[in-house]
Amino acid sequence: MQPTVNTYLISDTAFTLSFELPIGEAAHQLVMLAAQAIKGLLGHAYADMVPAYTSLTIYFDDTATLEANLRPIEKVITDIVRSTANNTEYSSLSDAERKVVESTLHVIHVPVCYDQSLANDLNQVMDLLQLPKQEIVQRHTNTLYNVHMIGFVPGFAYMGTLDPTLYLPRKKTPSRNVPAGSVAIAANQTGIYPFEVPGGWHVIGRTPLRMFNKNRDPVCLLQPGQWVRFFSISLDDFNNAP
Amino acid sequence: MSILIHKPGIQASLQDKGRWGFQHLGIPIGGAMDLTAMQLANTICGNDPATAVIEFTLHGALLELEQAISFVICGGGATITLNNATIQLGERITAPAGSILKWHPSPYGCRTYLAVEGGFAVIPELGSCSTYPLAKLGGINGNFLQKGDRIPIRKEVMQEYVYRSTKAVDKKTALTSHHVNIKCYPGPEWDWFSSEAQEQFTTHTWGVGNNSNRMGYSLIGPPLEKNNTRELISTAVTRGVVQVTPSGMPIILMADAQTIGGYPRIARIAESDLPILAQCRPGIQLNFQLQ
Repeated sequence: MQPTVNTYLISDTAFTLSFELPIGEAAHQLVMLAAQAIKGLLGHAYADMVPAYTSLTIYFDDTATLEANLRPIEKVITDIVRSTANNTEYSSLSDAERKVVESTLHVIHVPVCYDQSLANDLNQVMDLLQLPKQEIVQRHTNTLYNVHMIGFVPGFAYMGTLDPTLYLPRKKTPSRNVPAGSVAIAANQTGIYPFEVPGGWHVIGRTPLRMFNKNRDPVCLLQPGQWVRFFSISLDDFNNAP
Repeated sequence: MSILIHKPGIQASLQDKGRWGFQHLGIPIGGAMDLTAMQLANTICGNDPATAVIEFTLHGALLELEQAISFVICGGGATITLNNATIQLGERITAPAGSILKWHPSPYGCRTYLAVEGGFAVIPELGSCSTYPLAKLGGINGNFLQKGDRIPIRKEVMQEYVYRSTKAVDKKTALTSHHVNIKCYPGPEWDWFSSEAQEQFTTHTWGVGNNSNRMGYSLIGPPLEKNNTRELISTAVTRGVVQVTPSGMPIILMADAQTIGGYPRIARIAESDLPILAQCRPGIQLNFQLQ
């Protein structure tokens, strides 16, 4: 099935290509392929590009550049949508096949301490899901995640796809201050808060890694399209982390 | 040598054209709210139009020149004095060390831009001097200007008395009313709103809310209702996008807007009218003219 592609302006100098697909792996792969193809097509003729769950937005310096590139981009995208229609999704692979695929990927391993003292919402999540802590940790660390997009605040990675038994809607009342490094879940996504900000996801752990560091290259530890796996560390390891 | 900040006023910050090329990492573009006034101030100064300037909001700022400088202030929102004599916006002035610049209340406009000949000697971070406090990027230590900050200047000017150019050239950016018309286009989710909401959006006179800032302007008026219960899948948003919260309140996203948003977008402001919007202070009345 080929998804419909809608094109619309969000400003006089930026337009969005939106794929009619649900949030998930198929949409994400299409967005990343589209981003790559458009970079190849435009070289330095664009100002910025924002991949999101099911859309890609391209910013230009002026309206004339946007208008000149709109049709060529739409043509490239039509070709990509046609050629990826029959791609196999990672989630449909067997465990053995997944291991093979994962061995070919560059995976970023992120340490997480799942201690209640660092995870304000963990007890409530155990109640809501009716699962013991070890089971939540096991299911959260046993999945290979893909960074679908980065937004909300600099470096906040939206990662999918969560084990379906961990799905919870966002909290009704967001927390006023979620500490930097908090690892959280909401719907079919997991994410890491790079800064102390208000947030509505359920915090189940914390990583000692700095997700955003302006003096590092790259400034954000995670980038859209990258693969991530979490591993559990003890409170001692967390406290002794550099 | 430098400019010394005795009082920064409200959220004064160094800004340029913004930080481009990092939105895929969730880093907002930022930059001057009124890009026209910023570029004009630079141009009159003889600078590249994209040189970093100081953005001031309304009145309250008090600065001391620790060296002689040649400068221009454009925009609106304050009456400014140099050593107690009122200066014109858009006027090029050279003033000696020890001079005092002060921002007094004025009935119109919201933001003024101070450009100095040669520019400020600040180091760009991720390609821009624009201040983004959340990620501590740009400006002086990544923050809004604080009392006691010294902003270094690239160029020394020899001057022992105040020299003022004979005419000001800022007419284009001055706002002289408490009511403005803003041109806009239907947003990507325009059709998600009831015909009554669409009518209200275009006919109601909206007020700019008190909690309006560099991230966005909240609008005061009737709640806008959707004609369906669809949820938007989070996607890119930018300056000028008018999004509607679940309670029906419209918010116009401004310079420091998040890169991605999840609220339906009823409209987008014409880029040509964004500088006018930047000069709208809380309490100003707006009418949207759908193009």
